[in-house]
Amino acid sequence: MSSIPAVGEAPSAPEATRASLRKFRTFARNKGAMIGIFILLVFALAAIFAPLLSPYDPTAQDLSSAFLAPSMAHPFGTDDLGQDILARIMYGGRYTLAIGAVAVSIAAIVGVPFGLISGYFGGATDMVIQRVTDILLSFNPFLLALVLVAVFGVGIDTVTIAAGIGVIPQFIRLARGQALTLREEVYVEAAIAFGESSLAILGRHVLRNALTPIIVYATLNIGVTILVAAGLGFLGLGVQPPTPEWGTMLGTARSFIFKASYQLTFPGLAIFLAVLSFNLVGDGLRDAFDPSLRD
Amino acid sequence: MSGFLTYLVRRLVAAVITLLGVILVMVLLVRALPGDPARIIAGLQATPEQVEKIRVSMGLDQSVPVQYWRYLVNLAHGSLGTSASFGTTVLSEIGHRLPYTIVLAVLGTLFGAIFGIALGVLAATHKGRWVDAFGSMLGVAGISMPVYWLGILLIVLFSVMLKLLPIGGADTPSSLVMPTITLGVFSMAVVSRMTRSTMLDTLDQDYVRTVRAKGVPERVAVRHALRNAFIPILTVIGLQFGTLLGGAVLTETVFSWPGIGQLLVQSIDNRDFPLVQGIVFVFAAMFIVLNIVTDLLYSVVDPRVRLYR
Repeated sequence: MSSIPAVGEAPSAPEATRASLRKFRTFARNKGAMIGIFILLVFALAAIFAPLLSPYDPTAQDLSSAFLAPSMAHPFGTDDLGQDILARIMYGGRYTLAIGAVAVSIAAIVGVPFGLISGYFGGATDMVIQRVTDILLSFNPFLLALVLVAVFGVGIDTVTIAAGIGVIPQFIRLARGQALTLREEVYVEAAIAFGESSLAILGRHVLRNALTPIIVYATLNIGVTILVAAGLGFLGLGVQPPTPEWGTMLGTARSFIFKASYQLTFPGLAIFLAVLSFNLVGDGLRDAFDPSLRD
Repeated sequence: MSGFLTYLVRRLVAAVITLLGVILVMVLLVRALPGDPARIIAGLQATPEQVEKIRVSMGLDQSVPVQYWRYLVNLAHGSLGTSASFGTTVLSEIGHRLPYTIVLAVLGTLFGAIFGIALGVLAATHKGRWVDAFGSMLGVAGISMPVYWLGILLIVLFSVMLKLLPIGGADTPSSLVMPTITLGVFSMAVVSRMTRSTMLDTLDQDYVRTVRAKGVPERVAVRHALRNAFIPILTVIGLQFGTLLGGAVLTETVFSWPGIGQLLVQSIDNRDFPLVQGIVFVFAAMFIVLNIVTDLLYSVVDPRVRLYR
């Protein structure tokens, strides 16, 4: 805890490094964020080592063991086709976590450049991009993804892309705001004076300094894309069975709400915990690295 | 006052442009249906004549600009087209269902606002104590909760186990209880987080300190602070309305609530794209109008807010 160097002692690290070290320490002390990371690690390890951890094939149907309530052999019970629910949740993490991460990456890769350009150049470019953003925003993420899936069909690829497109406008907004502030910074003015091209300035200075809020935002939005993708699955418009996606499992189990409500407990809990973890980690990152983003 | 009118006109023009964009997106999406859109919408059992009828009535035999223009002309005449699966007009189908969605959305928003503000104020006035910690937990849990799972949990508890509430439908007032909670929890979480942080700011202001120094009861001081914390809270209530409408689609499906959200899912299953277009248009229009209303409300709550320069 000796973050303040003693008098006369040379600073052991450059100022910037020490500042970021302090931020990391703030993050590491955030209990919620650490719980989130722990839960995500459990999900990730379960997804990676599922074949070693579970004796069951997640898509092996055995009608003679359908609708078994939770027991030692099947801790989470079995579904209507006799598939082991625990195995399906472990394997299902592969899909849910991948869909969330890929969807947010798509949204950031598409949305951030548009937002930066919009905020940095202003004028007519800004107006056009803002109008398009308004149009996409008035759909809201879930509705936009729902309509896209309705047109382009169900399946893991379309669902991932649709969930990603759903949150693109959020990234345009964020990046635009960042560019608006950063373009007033001295180092950007200096770069302009040195005759650097706008593209170079955007990439080298603006993007680099906007990266922290973008990463914080991406973490918080993984939760949103997971909820959207699982919501589509719940409606039967997402990843299709027998693929063990959590939302799809929940949608199938809905028909058996009287007969076997345990089938509805665990897939829902898994979605909730995954989204909760990303939100806790995102909150922690925000509080430590960019408190200005708070609500 | 004329400044206000200019502002209003500018907002309305922007709203119309956005809605024109929404319609264009929907027209282009229907064109993008893989294969023959008219055949997909008419269904597998449709005769060639029926397919042609759909093609002509939706303008799919025309170029995109013509089709778009005809949709707008029809809209100006108060028509959103004909439903492919019901055979009735899109407007009448939506008209039957829309009141249900509005009732649910209003109740969900009220639930979220009342409990969210209460929770946020409690957390702010008890900063660092267990109420605050509990509120934070509830807040982050609320925004992480899949509405469809929350709905199912409520059904399992209140309908299956306790047999207190109807599992779905819209037959008795008690049918509203679970959908309202399901839809309102997300708003509650967002509003409580916002209320807490703005209340912490305003409770620290000079005028609140003055009021306290005069020795009034704490709840009077809190009331002073809350009045000024209201604008950001109102913004958040307005902003999350879009999310609420998205949640309505899922909530209505879980509880078989006969609103336009459930109708949207049905029409997607039926590939009834005229109806899908119409519902999406109504959702977008509701979202845009509510955003304008929220902005206008600011100036009522806080006269210092200048909407126009």
